[in-house]
Amino acid sequence: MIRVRDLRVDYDQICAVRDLSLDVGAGEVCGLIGPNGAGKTTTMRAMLGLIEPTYGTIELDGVDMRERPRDACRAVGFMPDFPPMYDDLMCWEFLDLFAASYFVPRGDRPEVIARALELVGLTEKRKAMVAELSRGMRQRLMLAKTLIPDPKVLMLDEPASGLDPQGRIDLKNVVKRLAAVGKAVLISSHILSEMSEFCTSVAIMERGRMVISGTIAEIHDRVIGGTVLVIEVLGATSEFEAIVAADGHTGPFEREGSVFSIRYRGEAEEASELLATLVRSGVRVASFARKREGLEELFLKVGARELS
Amino acid sequence: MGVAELILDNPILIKHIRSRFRPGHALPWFVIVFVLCVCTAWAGHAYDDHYSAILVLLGLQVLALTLGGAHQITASLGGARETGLLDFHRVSPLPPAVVALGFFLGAPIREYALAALTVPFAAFCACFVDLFSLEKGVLWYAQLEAAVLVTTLLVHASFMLGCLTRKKPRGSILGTLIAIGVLLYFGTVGSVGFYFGARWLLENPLSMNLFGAMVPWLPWLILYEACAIGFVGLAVTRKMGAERAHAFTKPQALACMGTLSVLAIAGLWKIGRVLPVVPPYRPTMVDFIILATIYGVSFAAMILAKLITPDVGEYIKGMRRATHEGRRRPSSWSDAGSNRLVLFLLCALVLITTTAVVSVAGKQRFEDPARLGNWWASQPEAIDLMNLSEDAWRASRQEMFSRPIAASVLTVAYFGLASQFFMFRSRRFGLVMLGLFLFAVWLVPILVGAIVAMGNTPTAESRALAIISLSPLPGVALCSGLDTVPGADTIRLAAVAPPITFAFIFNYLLVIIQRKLDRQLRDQAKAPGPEFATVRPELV
Repeated sequence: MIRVRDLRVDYDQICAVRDLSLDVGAGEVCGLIGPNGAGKTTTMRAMLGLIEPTYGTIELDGVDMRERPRDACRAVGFMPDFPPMYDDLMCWEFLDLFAASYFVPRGDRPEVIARALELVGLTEKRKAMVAELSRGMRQRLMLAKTLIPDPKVLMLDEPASGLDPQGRIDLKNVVKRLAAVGKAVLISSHILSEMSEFCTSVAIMERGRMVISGTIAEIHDRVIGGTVLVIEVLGATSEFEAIVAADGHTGPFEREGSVFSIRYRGEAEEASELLATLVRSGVRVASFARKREGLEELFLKVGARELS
Repeated sequence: MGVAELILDNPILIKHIRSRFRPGHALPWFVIVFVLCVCTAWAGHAYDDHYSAILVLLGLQVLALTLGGAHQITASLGGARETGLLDFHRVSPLPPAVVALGFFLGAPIREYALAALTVPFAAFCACFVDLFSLEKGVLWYAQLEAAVLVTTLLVHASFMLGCLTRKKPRGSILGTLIAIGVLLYFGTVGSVGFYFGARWLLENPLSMNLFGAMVPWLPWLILYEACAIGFVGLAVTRKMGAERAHAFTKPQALACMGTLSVLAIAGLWKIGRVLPVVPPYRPTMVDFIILATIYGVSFAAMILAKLITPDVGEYIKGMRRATHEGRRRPSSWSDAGSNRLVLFLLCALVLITTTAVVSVAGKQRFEDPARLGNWWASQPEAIDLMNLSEDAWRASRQEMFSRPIAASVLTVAYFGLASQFFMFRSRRFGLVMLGLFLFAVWLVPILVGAIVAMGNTPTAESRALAIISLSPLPGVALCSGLDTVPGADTIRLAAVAPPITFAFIFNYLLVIIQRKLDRQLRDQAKAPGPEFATVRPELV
């Protein structure tokens, strides 16, 4: 759905995006992560054709952006972080404007608009002036506008900024639902904890370059090298430490009171074996959890590595 | 998308119709204009001055369409560009021409409706404006109405282009003040001219020159304004499609210049025969027209040269792309390519146009000095001028205008080269440096010349004129020998020497800086070097 190869974007004499390649398939939700100035928005704007890339190929839904920009744009829904709107229109008029812009047949427009408003919970505000909407409602209306043409590719730049908790939950559900019906979603956001809940893959950018990209599990394995076992042990820990040290998949561990955090390169099978060994040896295991580190930790690790 | 669909189902136009015709906002305006129309028509009819009533109603239209309409275009399009809404339209599958048309017709839609409200009243008055012929009055009014409409379209298109090319989309306070000043001036002067001009048009059929054939003024005006609207519209569409794009591609700029050339030649073809018969004195009206054409065509070429000149950022981007695609440098016809080739062609067009105008303008018709009285009959110069054959006239004009043409072509050349050099030198300060350079070579000589002219020495005047001629603004006219001035040879030299010198200097500097940029970029492409290296061109 989204295919970017060797993308380079220069602003005057500064290279904003350098040799970036990215793939987002159908049904995939990809989080574009990076600090301010990493080149996330530039990448998105180049993908939309708003910035002319120095070179590189961008394909959206199989259509080359450079050769057939209008056809490529037809497949894309874009939502920026601070959505500008026509304040002098009513909500339905605003959506109708973009429905017509995306060639939704005139007869279908009322139904499409009603469905979009319902999806974002703004049915009651159908005839309200856009100027009267709160920041969060404007964001919802913008999401409705983005979904109006039923795009195959969605690009959302900080979509959750300004949304209230309910709005964020709704957004999360909408994104999950869209991915489930085969849309490719590219989201740029700073709220990593939320992104980890619905992103199936991430692409981490740093100073205009793609540092790493792939599914969260892949990146986790490549960056952190496995999972973390968090084990709470009651009583003496010497035997526990000996068993853990003898296990071939464990790495260094940290201890906080009776809770041990152990780097673990094994899979679920090996972890269950370790637990069984501990129990058989009489170690009093109060809790045993195998978890992956969140996007925030991942991002910090990758970022720290790059910067170092 | 058909033409009807393009207009009737244009989303941007519909958006404007919805927002601009909300009763709360629109109704008061319609009431005001309706009352004004009723009062004007009634007063015109009651006092049997239908002519003034029509002009007041047309004035109202002009006010609504130019002032109000242009303001609405600036507010709507400028606002959309400023807030980023225009980007939504850019990424929609709607073609840029449709978006442009939507703003073009939509933003001033209420003003069009207000203007349309005045039409029945003006048409009513037109029925009585000529006591003897209803048809004549109505036709006269219809022609004026068409002229107002076509001119409005041109004004709106120009404002749209301004909105899309300015750094501040809605314009600065200074720009607004200048616009108000210009509108007040031209409004005052224009209304007086319009009043008497319209009266003249009512009583006399006006024809205009087109390749020597006389055509009615309205088709002539529509032809010229349609060409202008077409090219401005082309630029607007291009800017609507992409913020980063130049207003014209290089071929479009050449096409624009070519069209301007053809229109200039068409309008001035044998103009001498069309002009009124006057006593034989120099400089003649034809000479002034030729000189004005030289200035006009040169300025148009300079504006086009500036529009197609890439800055250093664009050039570097183009170079990197070219290198990536295995080419040496960006094509001279692409936006990123240096302006040199197209500048050369623009200069060639200026040369061809001005030379052609001098050749085709034809001899002006003069009254016989013998019939004008003894004084005229005793003037040998007047008699010589009267007796010049068509060929001799042409030869004398070609001789007279060869230097102004050379000076103006070279001025266009060095302006374009300097513009390219400064934009390669620094993107941010390139324009400032160009402005300073032009101030130094165009305005400072006039200032210094004026100071020298204040001296009481016998040679002050000739010295002052020689210094003033260093600037092409007066220099082009002064070196023509249109009027007898002291120190004519020095003036000719002073007018032609700086353009030649600057053209050579800037051509050399441009070659050097372009080579430096090319070398730096090629070196960078060969060796990856530091990750985020920047190119910093240095001046020779």
